[in-house]
Amino acid sequence: MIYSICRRITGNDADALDATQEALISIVKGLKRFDGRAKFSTWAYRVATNACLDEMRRRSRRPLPGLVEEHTGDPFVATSQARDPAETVSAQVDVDSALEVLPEDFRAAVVLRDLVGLDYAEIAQVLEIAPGTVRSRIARGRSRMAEIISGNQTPPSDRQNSQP
Amino acid sequence: MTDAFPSDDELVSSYLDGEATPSEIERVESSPQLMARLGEFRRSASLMAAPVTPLASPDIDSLIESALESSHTSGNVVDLAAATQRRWWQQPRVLAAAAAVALLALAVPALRSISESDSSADSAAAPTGLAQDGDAEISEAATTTAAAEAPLAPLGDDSLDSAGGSTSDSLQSEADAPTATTAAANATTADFDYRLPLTDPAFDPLPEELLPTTDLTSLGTQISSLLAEFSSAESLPAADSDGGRVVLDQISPACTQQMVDVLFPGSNVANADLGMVLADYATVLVDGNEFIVAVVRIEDEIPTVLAADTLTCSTVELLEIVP
Repeated sequence: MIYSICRRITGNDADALDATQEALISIVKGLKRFDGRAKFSTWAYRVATNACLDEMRRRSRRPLPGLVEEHTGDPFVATSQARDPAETVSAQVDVDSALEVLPEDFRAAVVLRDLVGLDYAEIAQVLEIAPGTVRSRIARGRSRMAEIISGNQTPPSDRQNSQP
Repeated sequence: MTDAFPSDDELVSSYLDGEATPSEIERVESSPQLMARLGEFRRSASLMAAPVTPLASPDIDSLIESALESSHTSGNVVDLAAATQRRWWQQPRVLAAAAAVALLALAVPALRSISESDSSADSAAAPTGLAQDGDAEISEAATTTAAAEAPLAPLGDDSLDSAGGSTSDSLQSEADAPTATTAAANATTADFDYRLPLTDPAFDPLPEELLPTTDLTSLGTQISSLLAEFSSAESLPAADSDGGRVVLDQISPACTQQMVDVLFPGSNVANADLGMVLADYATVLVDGNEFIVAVVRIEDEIPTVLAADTLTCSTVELLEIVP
């Protein structure tokens, strides 16, 4: 599940692997500080989410080679190289591309809700934010996703500017 | 991006997640527009819920193996920028202090596990019950002259926070932990080769467990009170002229070398005869993270008190004491 979270949040295999590696290292090193006040899974998701967000911040400071090539044409139609089953759903919607336009905070909340299935209280624990903020972030993330799916998406060339 | 956020979307989203109130449910279900929006959100959620292609087994093995290996080499986050800007830190005796903390940061956790069952360990330090009585003791000590100042350098690294919550459990067995003297005797059979005694039994101002604090400033205040009575040279016990020398290259380079690199770029303190005494030490939780507090004495002075994160080796000068 940690890899799945990282794959969805980071949006690509390489960053997901890096983030997963960092998350596992943090979990191993931080085990002695796990105090049992939260469920272990919640704690591990927090570690993983933070690792993913860190990886994305590192990535934002690097060039993005291949972005244009990967997203030529309709950015929300799966590429021929797609391996993720989610990229082959009937609607042919590229989940990664759709997620990429979301601010990372919204993305994390949406992933934790829709992929992991956590409730708002659990997501609040993972992200260390108020439940009300969780509700807002998920709603805003879905709202944006709905725009994308309905065809009112941000052009790919603008996507980097949409990142916080 | 968020300017065009429809106000009812939060309502619909909450409904979809089963987090809406009864009145919100009624409102959504009575509105064809909101129900249509709900359909759009459902589609989005179903796309997100699609499983990710799992990693291949060799990849999983590799990730796990790397993570486990990292636990043996320790991540070394040393945040000493503030300290390195101070001329005082460039003095040789401070090299000794840094070496002592590096030594402790490595030795104490390791030795704690080695001697888990060593209930007869040296208990020369104050009883752990001070944690409950600490306020009174600090209060009393604070009435004496406190020459110590607390130039606290903030720990800027939050990497541990990302690893989750904190615990006080790690200190619960502290009463069973060996003193550095006992520990060193055990450690010399392993990787550590430092000379005894690391602690001076006649100088024991710190309890083994300090009161947990929320920040380093509070910890500095606590230590300052505890050391107040030792703030003059006359009050110090005689120095052990032979003790406390540290051979740095006997310490795991995973933590020590990086610490030295950050603290003293270009310096080679390995194998140095530093002629210092690690006068006393204790563990404490600071904002949930376990720290070692090291009182480092050279001759008849207490030059400094350092605090080192036991997990990251991140180190700050907690107090500079000038008798």
